[in-house]
Amino acid sequence: MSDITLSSAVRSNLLALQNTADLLGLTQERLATGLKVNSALDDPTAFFTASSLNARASDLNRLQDFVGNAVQTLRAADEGIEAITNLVETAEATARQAIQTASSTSEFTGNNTTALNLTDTFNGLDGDLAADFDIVITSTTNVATTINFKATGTVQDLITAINDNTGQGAAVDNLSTRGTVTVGGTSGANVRASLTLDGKLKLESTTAQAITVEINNDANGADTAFTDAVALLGLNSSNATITAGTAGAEAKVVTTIAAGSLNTDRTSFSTQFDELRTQIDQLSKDAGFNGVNLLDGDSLTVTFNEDGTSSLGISGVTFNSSGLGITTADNSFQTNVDINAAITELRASSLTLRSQASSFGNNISVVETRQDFTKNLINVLESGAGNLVIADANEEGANLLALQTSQQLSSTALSLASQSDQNVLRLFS
Amino acid sequence: MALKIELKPKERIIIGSSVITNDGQSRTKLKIEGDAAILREPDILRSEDAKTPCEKIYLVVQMMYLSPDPAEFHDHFFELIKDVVVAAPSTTSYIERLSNQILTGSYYKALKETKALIKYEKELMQNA
Repeated sequence: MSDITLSSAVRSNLLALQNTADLLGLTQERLATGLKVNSALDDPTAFFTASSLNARASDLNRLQDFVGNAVQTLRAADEGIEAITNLVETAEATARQAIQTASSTSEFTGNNTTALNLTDTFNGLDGDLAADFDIVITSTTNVATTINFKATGTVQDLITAINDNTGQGAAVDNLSTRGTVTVGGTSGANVRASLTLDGKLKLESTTAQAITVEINNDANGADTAFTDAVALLGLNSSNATITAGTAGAEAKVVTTIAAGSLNTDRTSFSTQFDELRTQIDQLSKDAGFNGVNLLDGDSLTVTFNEDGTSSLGISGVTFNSSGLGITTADNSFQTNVDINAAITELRASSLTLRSQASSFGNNISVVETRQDFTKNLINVLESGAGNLVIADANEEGANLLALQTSQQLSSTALSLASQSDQNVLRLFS
Repeated sequence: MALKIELKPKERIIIGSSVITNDGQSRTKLKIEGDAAILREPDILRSEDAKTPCEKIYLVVQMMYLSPDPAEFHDHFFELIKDVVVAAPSTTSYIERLSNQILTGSYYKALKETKALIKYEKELMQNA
């Protein structure tokens, strides 16, 4: 520490010098910035009002950056949806090309004369059909679907039971109160069932193997239920071998369709389909911006003002193939049933994509409207803050009067009036 | 929560896009539920009555409040507040508050803020 002691005269001289320097600095600062008030010491009220306005403007500016990012995130998601929609459309075209190629695996179509509808019940189609019957479909030895079918079941129930060869439990309960579906081995027959446009049951093999269709009576001996079921499903002596029932054996009808071959074109279409599906997965992962991916389950909250009282929450979606409900190509597209199932899934996902695109589109327009509003507000606040320090009540009053006069002469008032004519205000005269 | 409003004979009120007039001889009580815009007669400014710059701001905020698409009035709104802020910078804090209400979609509160602005404008004009 120094031991220098300043006399009071020296001290006051020093203070005067410091003040002069401050004043000089202030003048220079005012000259440089063009503002009358630059520090709180000058005019505390004006200074703090101006600086709080500037702070608010800068708060809003900072928010604008976030809002801008949100718009980018939404745009990225929107573009992602567009790209995914293209992939889904391409996949649908691929599936349609596949279905144009004739299937070459073995298939059975009934030759029934009464057309079946999916909602028909068997006893509704034929009142005599009161008892149950068994249908056994075999594609190779020990790979068979055995369905004990109740007469009150519908055609759709039967088709579902044949196609659902992995999880019979629930489906079967709807078919028969006493019946079960017994599936040979670990899975059922390699066939897909459908109804043709003219109401015949169609079975398509998913492999090159032959298929055997057998309908047998539920009890020994011949009975009407059996004969009627056979007639409805379109098996008769022209396409099947009929064995009459005896006291010791069930009656049955059996037909075997020779082995076919796999259609390699369909196989390659199914490979293309699965590749497109993989691309959908990859695309949905890449649709993010700044770490937020609205197509991969992320959500976004856009805050519009600095205290967070105004915000918009945007829920993301999961638009990978499984989120959209697009499953892999079943059975290499060998059966039309599998291809049609894929087409149905693709159509449904197109609708989902379209409705989500419109929802994101609405969000973008809401966010952009707020963004523009905030941008304009910042400009106004900044011009207000800049002028505040030169404010003078008399001058402001005169300015407002002048403004009123000039507005009366301008078209602003006219256009406001005409806009209000389109408003409910027109009723209020 | 329902809003309860009492109308004097011949008094009018705007609810949504309709004007409702109490056409009876006695006072009428209304209970209003829902989120339609509601504007009572004392709060309504007709376009021919909007003379001063800040009354014009009130008119445009009122139109936003009553419109299904308030954003179409934004350009007009900014044109008007810009003029006022340039003419009288001390109005900035009023304008900031009312803009904030518009930004948060609270148009009714924005109208209240605009009323305060009109009052302040009157004071300033008396100085002129």
